[in-house]
Amino acid sequence: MSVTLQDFTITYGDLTAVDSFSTTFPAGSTGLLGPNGAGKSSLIKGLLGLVPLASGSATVLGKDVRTEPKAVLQSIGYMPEDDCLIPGLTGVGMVQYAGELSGMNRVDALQRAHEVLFLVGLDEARYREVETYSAGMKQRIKLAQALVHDPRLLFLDEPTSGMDPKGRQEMLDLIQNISSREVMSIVLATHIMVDVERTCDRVVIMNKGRVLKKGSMQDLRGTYSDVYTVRVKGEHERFRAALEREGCAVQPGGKYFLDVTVPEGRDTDVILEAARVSETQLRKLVTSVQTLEDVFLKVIGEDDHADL
Amino acid sequence: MPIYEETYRAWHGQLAARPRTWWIIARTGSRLRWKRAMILVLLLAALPFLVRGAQIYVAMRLGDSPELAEMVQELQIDAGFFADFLRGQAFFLVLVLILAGAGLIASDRKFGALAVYFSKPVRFWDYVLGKFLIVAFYGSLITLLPCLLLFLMRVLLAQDAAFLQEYYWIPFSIIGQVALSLLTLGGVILVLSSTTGGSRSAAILFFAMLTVPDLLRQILPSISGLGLVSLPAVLRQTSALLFGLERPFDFSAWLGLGVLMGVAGLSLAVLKIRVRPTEVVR
Repeated sequence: MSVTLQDFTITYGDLTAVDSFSTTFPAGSTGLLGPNGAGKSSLIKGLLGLVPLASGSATVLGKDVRTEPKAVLQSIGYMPEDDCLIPGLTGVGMVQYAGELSGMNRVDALQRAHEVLFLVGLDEARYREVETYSAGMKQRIKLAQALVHDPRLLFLDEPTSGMDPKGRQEMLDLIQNISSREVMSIVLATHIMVDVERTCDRVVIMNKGRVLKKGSMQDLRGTYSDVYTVRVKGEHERFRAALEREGCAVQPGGKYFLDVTVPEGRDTDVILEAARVSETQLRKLVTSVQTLEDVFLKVIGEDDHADL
Repeated sequence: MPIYEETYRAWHGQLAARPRTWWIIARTGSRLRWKRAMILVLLLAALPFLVRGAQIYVAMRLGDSPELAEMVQELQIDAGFFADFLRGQAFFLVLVLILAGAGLIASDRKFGALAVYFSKPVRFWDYVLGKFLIVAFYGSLITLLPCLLLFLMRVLLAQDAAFLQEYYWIPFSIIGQVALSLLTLGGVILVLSSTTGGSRSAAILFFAMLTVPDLLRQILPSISGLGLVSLPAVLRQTSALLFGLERPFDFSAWLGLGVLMGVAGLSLAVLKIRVRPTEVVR
């Protein structure tokens, strides 16, 4: 396991940012998905010792974050969400400095800095002072400083934030490239579902500091295979009413389509029955293809609803 | 056919088990502060050293000449000579500390660099020690180093060992006085750098903190013990204690020493609060 958390709690005064979080991030790439303020960044900062734990425990790569913080920090790489630059240094100087702080010797750190800057696409700008970098370049240098010492686990906090579409694409390609080498595990915290879908094998959905759902991408989508896309001939008001009487949730899925969520334990029979009762002709009935966004919205919606 | 694949490549080296991160921070920070303004101040601060060096040379080598005999008699090269030199360097020390220290933590906070430091195996003590060593390095270049060189010059130019036998303790006094100055003034400039928005405001506040209480002391000489709130006055008093000279002020030099220790301790406490990787906004 890359990360194991047990009743992991982080509080800022009265505010509980991470609430008794218990889960594991296995080796590979894990997406930490949640809306803004869900506690993703706090969770990562807690694992790195950047914010104190209120209670609970955690291990990173088998090392306890409370008792072996230096060993944890040496074996991980962290790309923070906010800007973080060492003013006055050039790109290569900053990455070399990060490498040395992690325990590399000067020569190795310099050599590796050049390699990593080439990888993240900053080879042309490596001798420029980092304060002069654009938003996209700052994201890249943040990734470079996190990668320089070849960590076994990489924490990426909103890695595509502030990047233009091309830069975003390149960043995602890069993350995919790193995770596909299987030498480094990745925990990617974001609220952008497409980023997780593209780069991660597993997802942990969190809201208000709690785990709502977790599992492989395939499993999560499968959980919600009770949604069907239906096309009917003509008006669908009577059909819709019949479905709702049977306990189905109906959402318009375009001009001619309806997305129908059948009640638990029921199948397409409920849709066919509603069509018969309302004398509606079905033109199409297929299992709806769930995107991660559908799953995410549903889980978060249920959680928000439960709190009301 | 591609001749080079742009892909992630692992690094197979060995990380140091206990990296001396404070040293890496001090080394890199000192290099970054080596700029034109700093070099200019260092050169200006070397002038008093050259003058004092010339004085020692004249006294030791040309003292027998009848034209210079009177001047040499007036020039006493004793503990007061070295204490005076350090006091004369105080102005340059303030300038150097401002140039070296005012932006040290302020810019790290402004650019979010603390997150980089503390996501590496860098503890609070490593960070603060590294930053302190930067100001201590430049401060020592214009105080400790030239003062010790002057002492060495005086010893080497002497015909006998009488001076060394009488004043063997002066190097320790020099080291002690410079350490006190750097611990307090260096601590204060780091605190101001961590609490103010930028290097300019830290520099102005630092200058004000040193001059305003000293002006008050001079305007209101009747108030006994007012010198204790003036760091320059307290440092003069401890200098007199360390170099065995007559005390210039009426408060206890030991009390002054306590004030300096208190300032250093308070600085550390404030830094502990201000130097954090994450700002919590409530």
